Amino acid sequence: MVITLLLVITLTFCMMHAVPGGPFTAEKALQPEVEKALRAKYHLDDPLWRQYTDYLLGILRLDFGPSFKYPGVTVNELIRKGFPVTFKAGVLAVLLVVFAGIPLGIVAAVKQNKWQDAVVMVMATVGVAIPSFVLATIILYFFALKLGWLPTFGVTHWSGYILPVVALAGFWLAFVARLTRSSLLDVLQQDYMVTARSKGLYQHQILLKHGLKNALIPVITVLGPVAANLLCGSFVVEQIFALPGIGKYFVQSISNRDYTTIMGITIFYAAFLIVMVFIVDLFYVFIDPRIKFGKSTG
Amino acid sequence: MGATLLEVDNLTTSFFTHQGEVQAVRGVNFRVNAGEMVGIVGESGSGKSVTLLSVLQLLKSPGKTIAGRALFKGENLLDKNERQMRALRGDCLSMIFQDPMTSLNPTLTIGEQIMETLRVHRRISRKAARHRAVELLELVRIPSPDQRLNAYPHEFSGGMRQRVMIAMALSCDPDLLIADEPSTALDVTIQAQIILLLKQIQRELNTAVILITHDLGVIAEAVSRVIVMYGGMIMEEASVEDIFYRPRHPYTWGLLASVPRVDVEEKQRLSPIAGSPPDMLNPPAGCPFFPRCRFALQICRLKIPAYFSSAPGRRSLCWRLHPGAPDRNRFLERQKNYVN
Repeated sequence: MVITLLLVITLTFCMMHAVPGGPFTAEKALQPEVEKALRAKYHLDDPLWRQYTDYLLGILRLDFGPSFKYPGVTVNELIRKGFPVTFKAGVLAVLLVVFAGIPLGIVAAVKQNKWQDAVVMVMATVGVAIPSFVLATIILYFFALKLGWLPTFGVTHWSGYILPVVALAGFWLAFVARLTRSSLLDVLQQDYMVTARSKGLYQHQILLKHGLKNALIPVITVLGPVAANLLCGSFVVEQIFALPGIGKYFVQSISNRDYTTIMGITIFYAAFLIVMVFIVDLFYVFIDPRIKFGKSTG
Repeated sequence: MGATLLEVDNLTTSFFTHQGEVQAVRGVNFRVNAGEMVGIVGESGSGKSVTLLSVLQLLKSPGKTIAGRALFKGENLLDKNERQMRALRGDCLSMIFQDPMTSLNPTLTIGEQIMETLRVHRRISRKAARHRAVELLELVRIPSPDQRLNAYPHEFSGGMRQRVMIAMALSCDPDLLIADEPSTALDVTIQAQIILLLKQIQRELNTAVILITHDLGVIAEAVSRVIVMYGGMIMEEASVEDIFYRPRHPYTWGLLASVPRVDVEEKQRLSPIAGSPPDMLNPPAGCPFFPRCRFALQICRLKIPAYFSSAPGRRSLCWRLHPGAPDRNRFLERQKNYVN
């Protein structure tokens, strides 16, 4: 895990510095003296290896340094400010994906080739095909503008979260519904499902205990990265619904060459992803007894 | 022998596929007595498994039973709805399957898989179910059963898994146990053990057993009666002695000639039955075996034979046995070529 993280840091650092331009490149050029002073202040004239090691030492203290673009604000503060909003929307989106995507997939599999299946599959295909900004714009137009049911922007009231969460979750909801359906259909064909029926179990036992437990293994695999992705927010969705989240800062920091912000948020994201994948691996052990820690079993 | 337990009457099952109707079972009649062990033998695709899956109503779509009755203790199973069948399956009627590697759920402990059957049908406490599960594992001779209950299927060998399947099937003391090729997927030495175990269970618990197999040799010592199936029909039914020593159907002869023998001194080549099983999408109009039969007459091609019986409980579906068939005696003499 540490090695993965170090790799991410190094790569981001190198790529960032390889891009032409710098944090103080602007249309209206700064006075040479001012730029020189700024570069000195942020140690940008040090050799790269020096900047790199300084930065690593900062990370060890969990200090991502000052933002270049927002004077007097540290990257830590940016994350602390933006992340709660992003996180709240992300958690809701993950819950929506899990508690709507999986049941929809189950319904589609159980009612295979019936109208319920057709409805879910059409929705899921559309959901996977439509980019989130289109979905966001459409639902914003209908539910906020035309019908006026929900606010168009801001999160001062809980209802403000509904549309952004739907827009965030849309793609993954559709994806998880499709995955659950195909996985469950595959499991329903297995020999042990016939055994379960031959034992005279109730339909719900056969479906949930014998079917779903096995069918969820691939679903859980994707849920880790999905959760990390959703929890780290989406620039587009945050922008459209004017959510004060972390995604906005991230994208702006790239065009601004705000080195420390880019690094800080990338590392934060990577660490988050690694932790989520680790949690998923832990889940595996509970759901699939064939996977065990340490020694391999035949 | 006890009273009739299962009576299958004119059972007809087809699979309605995109290519058309595949007639898997075509009017099968047989009966099984309480406490009896019967073998059903036939090649792959002869309809033997489908027959019993139809009886239990476990067919997967597009399979459908379109005619016939299956009387179990006098009640027609085919009239029962899914709810009534559910109550019977695993309780009075249970089944074990061919491949123990895939027939157990990989994510549940074997204890749970045994106990859930008990708890569904007997409504007993977890503790009582666990106690009974230990007894069952002892019955199928699994060592240290108490610990093994917490193990998962992947921690067992193939033979052990099949024992677990048997324990599961026996959990509610069924009257009838259907074993669909229980030993086919196992090593030869393990095969014999599993068949022996089934035999002991049938004797000790007085459970009727239907043993489905494609290998005559496997069942020779275990069953009392043999039903030979081919092309969705019963070709011959007789006591196990008659099947091995006095077979009267050319298909049974073919089966016997393709089984290796250890009691014959000189080296003999195994002779396979030439040709392949009929396409059940378009089954032959006459006897399903006639395209592969060396003794076929003109009528065999045109008309499905009738059953000819030489003794009670024994019948053969072959025109050659018709009293007016040409060279009938010479035909009957040939059976000696297949038994030594």
